[in-house]
Amino acid sequence: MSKRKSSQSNVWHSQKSQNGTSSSSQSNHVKENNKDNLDDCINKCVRYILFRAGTNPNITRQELIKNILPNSSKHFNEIFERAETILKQVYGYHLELAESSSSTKLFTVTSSIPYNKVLDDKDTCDKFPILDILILSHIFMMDGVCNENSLVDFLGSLKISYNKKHKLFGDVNEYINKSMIKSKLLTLELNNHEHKLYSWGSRASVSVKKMDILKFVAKMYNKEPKDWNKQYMLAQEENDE
Amino acid sequence: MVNMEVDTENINDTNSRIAKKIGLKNLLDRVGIIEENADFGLNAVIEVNQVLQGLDVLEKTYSVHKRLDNSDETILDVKLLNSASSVVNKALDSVTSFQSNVYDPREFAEKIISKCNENEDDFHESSLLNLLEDAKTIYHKVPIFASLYGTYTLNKEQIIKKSKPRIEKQSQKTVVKKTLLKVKNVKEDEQSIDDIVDFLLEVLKLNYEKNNNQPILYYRYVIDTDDFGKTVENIFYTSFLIRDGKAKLNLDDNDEPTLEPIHKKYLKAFRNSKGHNIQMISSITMEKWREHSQEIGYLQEVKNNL
Repeated sequence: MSKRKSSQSNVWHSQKSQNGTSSSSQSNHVKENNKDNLDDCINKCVRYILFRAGTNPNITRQELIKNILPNSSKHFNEIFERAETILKQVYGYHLELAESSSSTKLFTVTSSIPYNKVLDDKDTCDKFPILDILILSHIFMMDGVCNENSLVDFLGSLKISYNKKHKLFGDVNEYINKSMIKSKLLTLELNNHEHKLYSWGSRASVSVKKMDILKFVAKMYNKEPKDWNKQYMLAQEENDE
Repeated sequence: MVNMEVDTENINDTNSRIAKKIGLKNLLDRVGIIEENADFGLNAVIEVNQVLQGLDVLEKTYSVHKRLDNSDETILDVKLLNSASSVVNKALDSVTSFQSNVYDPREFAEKIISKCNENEDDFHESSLLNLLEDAKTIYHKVPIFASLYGTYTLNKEQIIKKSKPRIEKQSQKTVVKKTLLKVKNVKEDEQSIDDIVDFLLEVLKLNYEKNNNQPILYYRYVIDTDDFGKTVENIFYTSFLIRDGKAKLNLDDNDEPTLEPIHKKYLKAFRNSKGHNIQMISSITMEKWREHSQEIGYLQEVKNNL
């Protein structure tokens, strides 16, 4: 009887050991599969950001999860971090957190690759950065907020009409009140008298340095940035951050 | 005038290390109070001036060699100078803030125009392109990339539709009405028989004339000495001659059948007398055919001559 029991237990142990070896190989196989899936997700994330950033560099966390990682939302943080590293090291892109709330996170893609004018054709290249910088400079020098009349006068002084089509920028009114606000370069608020007030948007805060704007203004005046003390202090605070 | 807590006469009078230390500490405390008050106006500058004067007195009291021996005092000395100089800097900043530039948008615009006009005579809309390099250096946008394969949807996987193989419809066979061949053939057969019958009649008439318009022997007319089947055929066609009333069969004195052509008048009179043409096909055996095959038949003779 005892012999029968021991033989049965031996059989049971051998079965268990067989299962044990098979389960370990299976787990290795599963791990490899998971790793491959993770790498795929990371590559998808990188590609998505590369194609998306050109048209609209503001990308939300929900958008990435919905389009790239519908089944892997648990691993989003890991995937996002690795994608961020690849974008930084290979492409020179930075993913800056522009807005953060309890429900959503908004990232802005910026490029750290310096501008090379040799590769740019003046006739066909994008000229809107000129208008962007002029408007952002004006708002910054006006202590961060300016009303519509101030902006219109400033642009009018540069022969950029608010209502007429400009040779380089087209419909400036539409560009400022739609494109710039939609892309979060500008933020529009209404005061008590329902007048429009413009300030820097989250994308501008991340993509454009205040010190660079101040240096641009100083260059136009042939002066030093320190000549505008208040703006200089604000720019220094941003650098320190 | 602020009363100095330091008794300079005591310091001048006594060489005690403790007294100097106390003096330095007191000066340091004074500067600390100025910093805490955060008042960097003119009063602060005056107070700092007095502190520095007191420090100067302390410095003059002791020689350099003695100061080197007292490291504690040297440290206090340095701290005091640092604090005093920071207060002075802040005071200077507050004074210079009143002298910083005021931003004027129109002046800024004029400066921009003059900068853009460095190489051109008149400012026009395109002159702003001179700012392109500065603008793109400050605000370098991310370039736009597009997929090589056109639209690239990340949301859905492209479903490749399998094309179904074309099933060629078999063309329906056109239904053609089958014509009745028999009718055509019968017509043709009748025509041919009429021709043969006419031919036979001609041969009959010819031989009738040769025989002095006397009936000729029937078997002499139809026999074909070479071919039994041809003989039967001749008998068949000859029966049509009789049926159509173009020839007449009779028996001679030896009870041998004879054949003679008849005129239409005779036929008409015969029919008027209610006579009927009967198509008669006589039978012939091989023995009879051999019996009558001693001479060539009239039809055979004509056939051989053709």
